[in-house]
Amino acid sequence: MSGQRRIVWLASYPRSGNTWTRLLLANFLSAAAEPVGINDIGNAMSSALTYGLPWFDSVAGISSSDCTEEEAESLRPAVVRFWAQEAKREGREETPLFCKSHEACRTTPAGEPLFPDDVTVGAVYLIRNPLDVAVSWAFYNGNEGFADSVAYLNAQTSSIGGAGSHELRQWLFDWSGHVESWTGAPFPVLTVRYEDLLADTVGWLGRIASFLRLDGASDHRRLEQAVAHSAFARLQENEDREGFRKRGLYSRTPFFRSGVAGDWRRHLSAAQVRDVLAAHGATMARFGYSCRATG
Amino acid sequence: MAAQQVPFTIDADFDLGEAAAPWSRAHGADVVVRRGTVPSSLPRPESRGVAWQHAAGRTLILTPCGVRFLVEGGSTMRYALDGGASPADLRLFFLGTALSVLTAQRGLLPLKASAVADGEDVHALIGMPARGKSASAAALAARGYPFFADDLLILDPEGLDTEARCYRCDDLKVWPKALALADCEERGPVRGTSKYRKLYAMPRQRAARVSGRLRTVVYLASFKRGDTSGDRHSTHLERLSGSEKVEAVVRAAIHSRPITIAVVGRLPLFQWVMALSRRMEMLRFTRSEIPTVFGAGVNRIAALLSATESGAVQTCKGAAP
Repeated sequence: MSGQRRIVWLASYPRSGNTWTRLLLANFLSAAAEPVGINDIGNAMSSALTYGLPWFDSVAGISSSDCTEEEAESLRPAVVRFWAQEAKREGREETPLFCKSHEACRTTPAGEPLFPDDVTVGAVYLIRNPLDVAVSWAFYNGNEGFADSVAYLNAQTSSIGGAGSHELRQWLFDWSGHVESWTGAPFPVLTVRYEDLLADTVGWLGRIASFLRLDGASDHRRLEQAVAHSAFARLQENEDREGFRKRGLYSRTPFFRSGVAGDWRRHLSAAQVRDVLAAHGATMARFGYSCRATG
Repeated sequence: MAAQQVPFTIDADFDLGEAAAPWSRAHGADVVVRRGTVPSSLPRPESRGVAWQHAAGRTLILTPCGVRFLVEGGSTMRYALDGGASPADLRLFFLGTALSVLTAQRGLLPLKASAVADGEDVHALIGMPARGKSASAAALAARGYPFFADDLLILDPEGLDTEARCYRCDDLKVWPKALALADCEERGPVRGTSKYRKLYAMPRQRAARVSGRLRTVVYLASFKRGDTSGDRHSTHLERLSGSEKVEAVVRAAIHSRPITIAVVGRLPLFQWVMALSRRMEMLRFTRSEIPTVFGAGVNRIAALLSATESGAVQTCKGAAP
């Protein structure tokens, strides 16, 4: 890692393969015979949930629950920089610091980038067909009517976390705004389609590892092992056995529910598909999505 | 009379509020708090974070709302209000971060906890942020356990081997949605800005005493590894082992943790935590965070507190009615 730049943002709109990608990377980095457990991702790689209240409070030193959302947000760039500097001071210079984010790549109310360029190596941005995102988001929230989920993807003001939750408020924008914010970020971004990752997981994990200049990026056996350790059936079995802390509070289905591309065809109405296309057709086309194509 | 019960007294030039009244003394107090000049940084800090610096027994706290504190030697504190910070903002950060630093400087252990009273005894609720500590304490107050403390519970590490004496200082603060859940009455906004939504609240019962014997620590959690029932009404109760106790306190119960570590030092703080862990019965209570099962979860906590009195705590899985 050069200078202060050591943070890798693993970014996506919710329900776009972020957790699976983190498991792929965790298994690749650990290179162990045993798979990384779904509840142990954070222990397998230097990582942080920078939007989580425990992490924020422990780095900032003051309690986010004493702050307004704007005040806490105003501290976030400094908190991220401080974390990166501490990693250097502690001699963890060669290891990337992985940060998951579902938030749009945006600025604080004061105009400061929330994802500071000066400490960022780059971002891996996962994008998934919003029609499938709408379905997955609905199941995650235990609300399988799908209309709310479509409205959520289409609203400029959608957010997660905030008041009384375990996470700081994270503004998403609408789905297209989220995509535009990350693909136009002022640092290197590798955009990975979830559907492509599904179709050629070893190949795309290798591209991600190469982009991040990780040791072993061209080690085919290591990549294959990481992919096998992160196979969807294995993750489902892991969740069956011990539960998953990230499962939706109101969800009636497992976190690792389906994972397939094109599930929207079984669930969304024609009107719901039209609503998504009307709002995001241009962005979808830019990334090779249409309502006819597989994915 | 009440002032005799607290480990130190405070002479502040602003109103500390009703709950902290026993700490207040107009003359001859152990700690003097005054508005004055507060630097924006300390020279050659020994340790620092985003919102604080520490050097040579002095701790600087820089809040994002514009309240700044300089806490020195456990005996004096200066504060400044910048950028529209209000007296309400001052009181909130004084009775939270600043007082925790002051107590650490005075050799006391600031715990991030809510608590209820049980006669002379105190039961503390700890947990990661937003696990429902305050709301649970308030709800327990409607079930026969008078509310004792919110956010900051001050523990005297001296004598931990014989008695864990603890102190309270602040009023109850809850999110608006918790008012009805916890059966308490709104008492006005906590901060001087409408952008901050927590409210002061009055629980159904409040302990008159300012100190008590810490008897039980309940660690509130929301995920139980191995619970695959998918039943969001289930609860789990486990007695924590020695190492689990230490981990729970270190992870979730040290107020303003990085600052407290800087002020106290890692080794002395660890020794305090070890002593506390040896002394205390600690239980992990895992419950869903779905609001509709909150009341049933609190009923189970009340039942387990009752069981700790009789020594009949059983670790078990249960289901809310």
